[in-house]
Amino acid sequence: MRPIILKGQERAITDLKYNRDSDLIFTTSKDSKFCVWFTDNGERLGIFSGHRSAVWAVDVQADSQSCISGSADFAAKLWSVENGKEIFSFAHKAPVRTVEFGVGDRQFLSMADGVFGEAPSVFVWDVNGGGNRPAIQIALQSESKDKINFASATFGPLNKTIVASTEDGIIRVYDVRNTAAPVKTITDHTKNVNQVSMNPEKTLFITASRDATAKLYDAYDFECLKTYNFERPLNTASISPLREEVLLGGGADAVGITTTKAGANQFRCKFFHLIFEEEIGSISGHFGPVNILSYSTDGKGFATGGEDGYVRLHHFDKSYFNRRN
Amino acid sequence: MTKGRGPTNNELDDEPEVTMEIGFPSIVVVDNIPVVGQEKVEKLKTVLTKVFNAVGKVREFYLPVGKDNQTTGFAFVEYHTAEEAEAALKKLNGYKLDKNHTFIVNSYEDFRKYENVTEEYIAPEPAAFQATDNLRSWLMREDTVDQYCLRYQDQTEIVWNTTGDEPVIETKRTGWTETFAKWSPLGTYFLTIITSKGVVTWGGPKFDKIHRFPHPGVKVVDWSPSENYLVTAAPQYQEKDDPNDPQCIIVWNARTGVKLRGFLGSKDTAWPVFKWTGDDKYLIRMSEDTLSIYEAPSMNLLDQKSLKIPGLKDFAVSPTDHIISYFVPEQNNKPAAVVLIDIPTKKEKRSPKNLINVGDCKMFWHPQGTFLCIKAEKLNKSKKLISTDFEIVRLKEKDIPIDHLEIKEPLIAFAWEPKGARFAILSGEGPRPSVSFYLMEKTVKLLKTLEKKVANHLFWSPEGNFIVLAGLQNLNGVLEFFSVNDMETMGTEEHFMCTNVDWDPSGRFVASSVSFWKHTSETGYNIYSFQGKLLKSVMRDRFYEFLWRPRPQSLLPEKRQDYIKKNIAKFAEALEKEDKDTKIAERARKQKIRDEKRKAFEDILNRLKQRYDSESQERASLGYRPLDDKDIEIQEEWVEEVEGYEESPLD
Repeated sequence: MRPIILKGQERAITDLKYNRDSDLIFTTSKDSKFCVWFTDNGERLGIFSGHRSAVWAVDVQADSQSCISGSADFAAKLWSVENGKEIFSFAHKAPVRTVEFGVGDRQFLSMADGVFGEAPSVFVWDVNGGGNRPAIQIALQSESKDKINFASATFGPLNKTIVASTEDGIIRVYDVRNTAAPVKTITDHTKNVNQVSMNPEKTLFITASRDATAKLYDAYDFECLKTYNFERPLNTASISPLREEVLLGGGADAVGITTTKAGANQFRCKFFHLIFEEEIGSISGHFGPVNILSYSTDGKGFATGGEDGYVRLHHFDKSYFNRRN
Repeated sequence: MTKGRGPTNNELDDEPEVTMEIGFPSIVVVDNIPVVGQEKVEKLKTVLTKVFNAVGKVREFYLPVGKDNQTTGFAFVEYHTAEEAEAALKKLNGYKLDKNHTFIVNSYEDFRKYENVTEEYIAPEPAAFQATDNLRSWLMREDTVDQYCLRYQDQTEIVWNTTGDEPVIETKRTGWTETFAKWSPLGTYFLTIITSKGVVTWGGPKFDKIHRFPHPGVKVVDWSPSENYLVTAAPQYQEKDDPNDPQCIIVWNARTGVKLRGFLGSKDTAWPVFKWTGDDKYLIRMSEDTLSIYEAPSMNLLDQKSLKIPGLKDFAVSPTDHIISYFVPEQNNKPAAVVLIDIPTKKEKRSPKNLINVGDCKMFWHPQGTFLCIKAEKLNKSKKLISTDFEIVRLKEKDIPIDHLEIKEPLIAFAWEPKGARFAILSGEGPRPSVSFYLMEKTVKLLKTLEKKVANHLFWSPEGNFIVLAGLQNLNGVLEFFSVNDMETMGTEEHFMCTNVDWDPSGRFVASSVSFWKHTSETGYNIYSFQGKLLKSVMRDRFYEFLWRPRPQSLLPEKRQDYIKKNIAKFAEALEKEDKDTKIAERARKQKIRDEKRKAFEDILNRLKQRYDSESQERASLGYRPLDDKDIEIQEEWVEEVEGYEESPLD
């Protein structure tokens, strides 16, 4: 299947999200403007301008009416998808690296770095009405002497928990009603867990780590169910909503680029069998590390965004659906 | 009879023997002293004292006189220290006072020791028999699978080269060895090294410890070809060493663990220091203008003296016969020469002499000792290369004829075909050299030249017939698998930046690896079939070495081997059926595992789904609305597609 290449972001892609109907895809980059596109033909619907520096993250409500973005300009902004206008700006004291709507879209979380004396934190806000102060703040308490930031955060089932990973590879699960200390700490990874990604039902989540492995967890009991070996540092992973597979992407550090294999082979994304942990396929095309990828919500396609500034949009062809599992 | 020296080397950590001050270690007994009458005693004493003062200050000199008022013919000399007495033993034993009197010097202690020996012979207790496991156990597998050693990070693994996906690991140990590991040449032993302590050999089905060889500072190790001896070297002693007990280079009996002899090193000692004859009978070493041939196991210099060869530059030993070839470059208007000599007679054989206007020479012995190829670079007056000349000595033929071959290009690589009569060369100036194959028939016959190859190394299969043309490192790891019998390429692969290529001992598999020592990223190994089909690819962080376990010579007589080769079709049928059965069984086993895995996971998914479903009320209260069919709008679009064009003339 030939991909549709979304060209329009000048700089590296930082995040991408499909809406629930899978007909729109939102993409953000280190550019201060971010975009929304039609997934069936790659036509751009619109551009959201208003942030003053790199946009790190985006999420969209289930009804596709509003979307939220997080930026290095210390703000998370709520936008109307219909007309592209900014509805509200939630002020933070540090760059905002992740945003996500909770189940039901009445709340969202944002994740900010630790700068200027502020500890790295995850915040939960009420979408309507709670604009000036977050409802909940979870500050990172780390024993490490180095400055460690959160790398990724996501709501658990029913928004009762927040699963957050940090740059040292530790994953902490917080109960939103009692955020003093994590209810569970997972130390299975040895290097930065760049992304924690839930399946749409939030029953499973997958972690992608720079230690070249991705791990599948039970979202209620946090038991590690599977491990997938990628052999190169991983940035991103996604669980297929439709078939028994996961998709992983990443790439070597910039430092190692010139002495490692040349060509697009380096930045392949790989499909692994969910249960048997074996590589079942791969796809290449990016000229730089793959920063973010996701299956569409209906599982009929997927998108990858790279450091090279391109988003590659794929639709699976008939044979994909006819394949035995 | 001289005093023994030093503690035994059986246990590394034994304390040295403690000597106590009972006894008379500083006294020596001297025999064969002239017998003189009373009047000459004083004079004799003076003379003798002077002689014995040469090694140390004599404390007391006792010259006994017999009943007949003559000296008894022996004397007691006491020094101040045991060391001086020892020096006297060494230096003055055999000292010729005059034509008729040669001193025999012994330690007084020895006399006392031997005096106390019982008259009856008491046979020593034989040491209890220590059964070692079968050291050849790895060859006993039904499926004749070879082993290989992997070293990465601080791990050492011994793995069976089975065909399944899962590696069958015989043993895996952390910190087993420090810098490298080595198999013995016939595969019997595995050797590990810890520089501060020494080296250890392991073997048997469980890789138990066989022997320890204590040698602090050891950095390099070499085996003799038939595994009888081990040579260890500690370069830190190259400049400063003890001539009485050299620590720089030590030769051991590899089978018993006993130290045989130490050798001094020198600052320009190249490694390996010794080259051996194939049967381990002789070991040879080169130093400035000198060739030293030692016999094993005595470690004595053949004929007690080395060969003086002024200008000696390089030497090589036949892998199968007792023949040495050495190279002396041009000097003093004498042309360069490569000389072949027999050991132990040291007689010269037919040798290519008169190599005129020749720069560097390299000697390539055929692995079965059939031929010796001498490559000489012919230079012009301004020392530029005119041609590369080959003198090929046919050692097994009557009168040892020498063939001559010339090519106009510089030589990059040369390789004899093992068990065959062909050789391959890589030659050329630019980045795309040519590969040429020659056959040693009545003359040297060029079989074929392949041009513009991306290669800088040649690797023949140990059984001949097949060769890998490899472009290592900066040629990006291109591997071409070539059949020399059919003169065609069987397959081409690429192992990016690979640094090493190794055939397995049976010639069925080729392993390519990227070693961390030469290239720091993407380290790991690949295994290919001899035709170039990739069978296994593994990346490992900080991968250092891939080492196939060598095999000993086949025990089948040559006639039987030929019979099998001729009737291979018959044997192949039965073996193929065996393979098929194994595959089917393996597939069934794998399927069973997969089914179990799937069942277990599906149970988990069901459990999760149930939990999810039970939460639907709560989810709705948060504001969640499930995706409903009526939310989906189906838009029908008419798309026009042009089926084709048809041209028809206007009527």
